[in-house]
Order: sequence, then structure tokens, then C-alpha cells
Amino acid sequence: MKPGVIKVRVNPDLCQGCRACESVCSVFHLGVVDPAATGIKISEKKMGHFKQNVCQQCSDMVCAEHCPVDAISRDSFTGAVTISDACIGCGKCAEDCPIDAISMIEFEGKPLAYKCDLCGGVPECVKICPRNALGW
Amino acid sequence: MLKSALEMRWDGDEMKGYKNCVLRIDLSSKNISKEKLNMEYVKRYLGGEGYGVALLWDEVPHDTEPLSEKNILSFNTGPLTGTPMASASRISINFLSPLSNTIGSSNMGSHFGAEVKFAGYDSIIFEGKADKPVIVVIENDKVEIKDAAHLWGKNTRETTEILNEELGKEYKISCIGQGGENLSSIACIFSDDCFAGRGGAGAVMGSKNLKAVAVKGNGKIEINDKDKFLEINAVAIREIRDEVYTWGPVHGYGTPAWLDGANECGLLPTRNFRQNQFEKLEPIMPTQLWNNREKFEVRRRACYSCQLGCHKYIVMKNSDYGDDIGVGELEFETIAALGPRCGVNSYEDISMANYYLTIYGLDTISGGATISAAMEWYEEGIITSDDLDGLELNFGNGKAMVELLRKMGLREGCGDLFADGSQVAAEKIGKRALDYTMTVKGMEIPATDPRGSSAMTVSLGTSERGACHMRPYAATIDAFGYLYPDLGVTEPKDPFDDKESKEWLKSVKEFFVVTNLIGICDFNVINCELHATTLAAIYTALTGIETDKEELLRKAERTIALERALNYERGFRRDDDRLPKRFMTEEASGGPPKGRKVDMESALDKYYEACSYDKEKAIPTKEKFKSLGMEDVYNGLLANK
Repeated sequence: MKPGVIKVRVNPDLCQGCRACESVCSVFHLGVVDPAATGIKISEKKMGHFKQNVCQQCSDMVCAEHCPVDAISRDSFTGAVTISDACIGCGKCAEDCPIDAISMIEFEGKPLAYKCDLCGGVPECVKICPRNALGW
Repeated sequence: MLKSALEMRWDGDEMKGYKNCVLRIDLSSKNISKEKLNMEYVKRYLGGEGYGVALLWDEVPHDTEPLSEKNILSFNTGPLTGTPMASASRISINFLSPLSNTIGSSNMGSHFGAEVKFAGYDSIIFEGKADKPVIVVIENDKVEIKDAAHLWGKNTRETTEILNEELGKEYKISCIGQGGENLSSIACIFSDDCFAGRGGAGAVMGSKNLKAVAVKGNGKIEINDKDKFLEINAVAIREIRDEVYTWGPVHGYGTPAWLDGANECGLLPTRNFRQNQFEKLEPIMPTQLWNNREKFEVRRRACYSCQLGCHKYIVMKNSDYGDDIGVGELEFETIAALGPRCGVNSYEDISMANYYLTIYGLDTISGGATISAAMEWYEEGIITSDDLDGLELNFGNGKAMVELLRKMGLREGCGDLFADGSQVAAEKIGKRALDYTMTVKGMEIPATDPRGSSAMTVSLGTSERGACHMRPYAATIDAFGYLYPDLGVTEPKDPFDDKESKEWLKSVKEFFVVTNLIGICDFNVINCELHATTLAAIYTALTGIETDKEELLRKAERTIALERALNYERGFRRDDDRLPKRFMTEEASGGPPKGRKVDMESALDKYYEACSYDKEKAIPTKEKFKSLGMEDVYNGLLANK
């Protein structure tokens, strides 16, 4: 899969700011609703105008560069940049990400880096978006 | 592992979805405490509105004056609130209502309810009264009561802006405007342009000197079976998207999409219910708002996790009133109350009126309805422009409407007379004023003419909180011809036959109440979209408590029974379930119901029979209470008599 081509694409004009995407993201990956664990993040720039922040699955993978345990790699099937179970939660990748698309969360008592992995195929946020503001 | 309600240990810790924590704040003593959910309440009433009403029943003396410090104000989320379920944003606010004197139950969307869950609470209870204006700031476990001297006197938008600047933009804020501060009985609670509108929740908040509640949280909501949850959530979403009208006009334009349908069916109150059809509707159809981009900018701003997204934010760019005015949201009810009901058909006037109602924090339905009553009093010569600071309040005078609403919000000049709704104003004015007051239990009737729908005759009359558009909005079924097979409505109902059995209405009403208990929005069920079976399944997947459609409806039935019992204690009987005389004596002026009057007694009898109510006391019979497992409530009633 070509890196950076397949990613969650956004159309900011269509977004209604309901954050269903944020909500379903953590349910799918962690089995809980966790407002901190959002692979996609919606914020309101001004009344009724929303910004969507989501991993661009960049080709140079800046986030992987300084990972001390080599936990970050590209999934050969989906093309997504993914974080493996080896993650020790040091937070280096989140610091390095140029667009702040990696969040640091606490899961089962341990710190972890968390980002969009395209749900291994069809992203849940794309499925749930009522406005088709998200595509992939 | 699923467990039935009986097997569950019911200490609540096994139960997912709920946070099993209630925050109790005594504003008098500044004492802040946390407690576990009352499992008895959860078993009987599920949560949300039911939880709030149970608190009122158990903790507040039944004859309490609504604006006294003995009243409590509780914010109750449902188990689904905060999850990715469609429109799982609702938080129910319960209190004794200063407007109707009944139970007060008002709920709102926005992102506030979800944030309360993330902060770790199912409910927040406010007791007592602060000695000076305060705000309550909640960040997860940390709860503080802070001074609000600098916020008192600020309007809702200013308050939100100041707090977001002081505390941070992540905080979700509920607050009151000058309406609530001045104890106006029609004041509402504002949260990010959503309102807990009806029944005077804002006045109760104001009476406690509580200006605002700010919440931020990053806690988790646990889910019992995530795969099942996502699977059924997809079914629920499909049910909503498959409904053509919902996913077409309502998703597009929001609730104003109902305007022309309601008008065609002769349901649109016009000039204080003198007519039931508005002849000049075209200029205020939502298309006019969207197509007029030089003047109006419309942006979608949905509540948490909402598929429908009816909520819009409108900026009026240039008008006689000024440039770039953020008028907020124009709902069907708002447009109908400020438009046809007052004979006004200009979007500029309606928008500006809505702007004042929004910033001062007044209910748009009661606000518009009070103006329309005042207009009729003016036209009938009961009040004159001397009583109105010189305003000429004829039907259709939009500018006068806007000015009077501004004065009402601030209780300025003649606005003081009208600030507590039309019933209080009529009582003060005396003479024939009460004949033109379109209220039930003191609350103004919303935008549905009961002459066009027999089901709405019952809904508006028997609503436990006063005339209400959502208990249930049943005109969809009898007037518009929708079916709801999942609730047993398999054939069309006659909107003009008050003698028809109202058995079906009972289930529909219960299902509407279920949405308030569980934490989702009524608009998922208003066009018969979401199935009760689906909702029961998603509740089970979330919490791990086995349930079915019948049990969900029974929980709502219990909640309604408890509300009726509390109203009974406060002196409400069959007579209070009657609509104003106009509907029984004056014929509908046009549309399908032309020439029709309401047969109130038959409609009430049929409904009471369906619900097994005592026909005079208007509460469930002893046997009914017993079958609901609520004998203690019935015995409590007698003990107090």
C-alpha cells in the first residue's frame, strides 16, 4: 500500500462537531469510551467551524524515528502507521509528531501512545460520521 | 456474561455504562460529598429523569415552594450519555417547577452531559442556597464552589465566554442569564446554545444563587460488550438514516422542516390559537434562511454524538437591528412561537427575538406564547399601550414583540408583568385575560393545535410537567400517518376521534420518556425511527443488565406514575389535565380539522382507561401501583392525606 495515500480524509466544511468519531474510536480500540483516547480530534475554531486533527500516515514516519523500542511501523495491509504492544509510553513520538496526532493515554494502569491505525481496514469514524465529512 | 436484574449483585460496581457516583453539593453549607447510585432507583426508574424525580419524591417535602431553598436541582445523565450511540448527549434536569408548580423535568443536549459522565458522575445534585452568587467548577474529582460576583448580571453568552477564558476552553458550561437571576418563571438553563428550556429550571438555579456549572473530565465509560455494542449501534444508526423524512429535511434543515407539514395538517397555532393555519408561512420556511446567504450565515453545531444534527448556529449579518448578530438556534418551536403564533412572518424579527431570549436565558416557547397572549389581550382591549410602555402590540407587530421580549428578559418596565409567563400575567391583569391564556398547569401550550390531533389533545393535557411538546409528540402518528410497529402501532389512527382507544398512545409516551431516562434525544423516535427493541439491546450491551422492550417501557411507566403521584400530592387532579376552553368551544379555522372542536372528557377517559388511572384523582389505581411494584409510593400518598 502506498504510504500517506490511504488515510482518514476530512472535509471541514461538512463537519457538524458532534464528536461521534472521537467517541467510537476509543470504543473500537479499547472497549471503553475514553475522551483522551481519540485517534481523531475535533475542535471548534469559531462558532460552527470545526477542525479535524487526524494522523496523515506520513511517508517519512517522523514518529518512528526516536522510538526507543521500535514499536512504530507501517502496516503492510492498510498502509497505516501503527504502534505495537511493545510501546512503553515514553511519549517521544507524541512530541515529535508535527501535527499533534498522537495522544498519550493511560490504559489498564499503563501509559501508552495512541493514534489512528485506520481500524485495520474500514475506519469506524468514517462509518459513523453522519455528514460524510470523513472519508478514506 | 449477561445477568438478569435479579441476579445482579446491585452494589452497582458490576454495572457498566453508569459511573455509579453521584455528586451532592449543598450550597448552603458548602458541603460537597459523593455517594454511590441508589440502586433501588436504577432498578425501578433506570436513570436520568427517573432518578431525578425519585430524588424529589424522597428528599423534598411534597409541599415545597419551588423557589425556596428546600427545592433541589439535579442534573441527571442516563447510562447511554457520553457513548457513541446516536444523540447520546442528553442530561435531564429535575426540580419542582416554579412555572407549573408540578414536577419540573427539562432536558438538554450540547456536550455538557457527556462531560459530566467523563468527569465521573451520573448525577449532580444541588441543595440549599448559596449566600452570594457562586459557580461550581468540576474537574474530575476536584469540585470547587467559587465566587461569581463578577459574573452576576452577565448574559449567557458573556458568562460562557468569561468562564472559558478563565478556566480553559475544554470546560463545558451550563449557566443562567438575567432571566434566571431575576427568578423569571420561564427562565431556562443555557449550555452552548442548547437549553433546558421548559418549566423554569433557570429560576430554580437563580434562586440558589448558582450562576454556572463548569465541568471538565477525562474519565472513561466502561462498556460490557463492545462488539455487541458497536453492532447494535450500527443498527440504531441505520434505523435513523433509513427514515426518509428524518434523514432528508430534518437532517438538512433541522426541526423547522416540520413547519409546512404542521401547517398543512392544520396544527400550526396562529395568532394565539385563533386560527390553526398560517397563511403567510412561505417567508419563514427554513429554505428562506438557507437561500438568503447575504443576510444569514447558518452553521451546523451538533450535540454530542448526534447523527441528526438539528442544532444550528445562525448569524444575522445585516439587518435593521445591527450587523453580525449571533442569534443562535432557530428551532421549529421557536419559529412557530415567535412567528405564526404572534402573526409575525419576518425572519429578522423572529431572529432578533430569539437572540434576546437566548442571551437573557428565557424559554422561547413560553416567551413567544406569552407575547401572543399579550397581543390578544391588546387586540381585545384588555390591556392598552399605556400598560405596555407605549408599545402597540397588535398581532404581526414584530418590532414590538422584540422590544417586549427584551424588557421581559431584564424585567424592565412593563416586561416585569410578563416575565413569569402568560398565566401569572393574566392573574395580575384580571378581567377576561385568563380566557385567552393558552396554558395547561400554567405552562404555555407549544406549537401544536390539539384540534388537529386527538393524540396531542391528550399529550398536551396530561403531560406531567405542564403542556409539553415531547410527552409524546404523537401528531406524527395520528395526523401525519406514521406507523410504529415496534410499539404496536400497526394501523393508522384517526386524528379527529377523541373516543378512539388511546392504548397505543400509552406505549408511545412511555418510549418518549425512556429516551429521557436512558440519555438519548427524542428526535430519534419522533418520526418512529428507533425501535424500542434496538434500544433495549444496546442498553444490555452497554451495562450487562439483561432487559427487553417491555421492561424499558415499564421503567418509564413507573417514572410517569411517580411524577403523577408527586403532582397529586401538590394538588393536581383531573381538572388540571384539561386544555383551555378555547379548544372545546371554538372551531378549528382551516385545514383538515376545519370545524372541529376537542372532546376533552372522552379523550381523557380513554387515556386514563389505557393507563389504569383513577378517573378523578388522575393517578394510577392501587392495583396499578401494586403491579408496578410501587406500593410504597401509593401508601406514602395515603399516609400524607
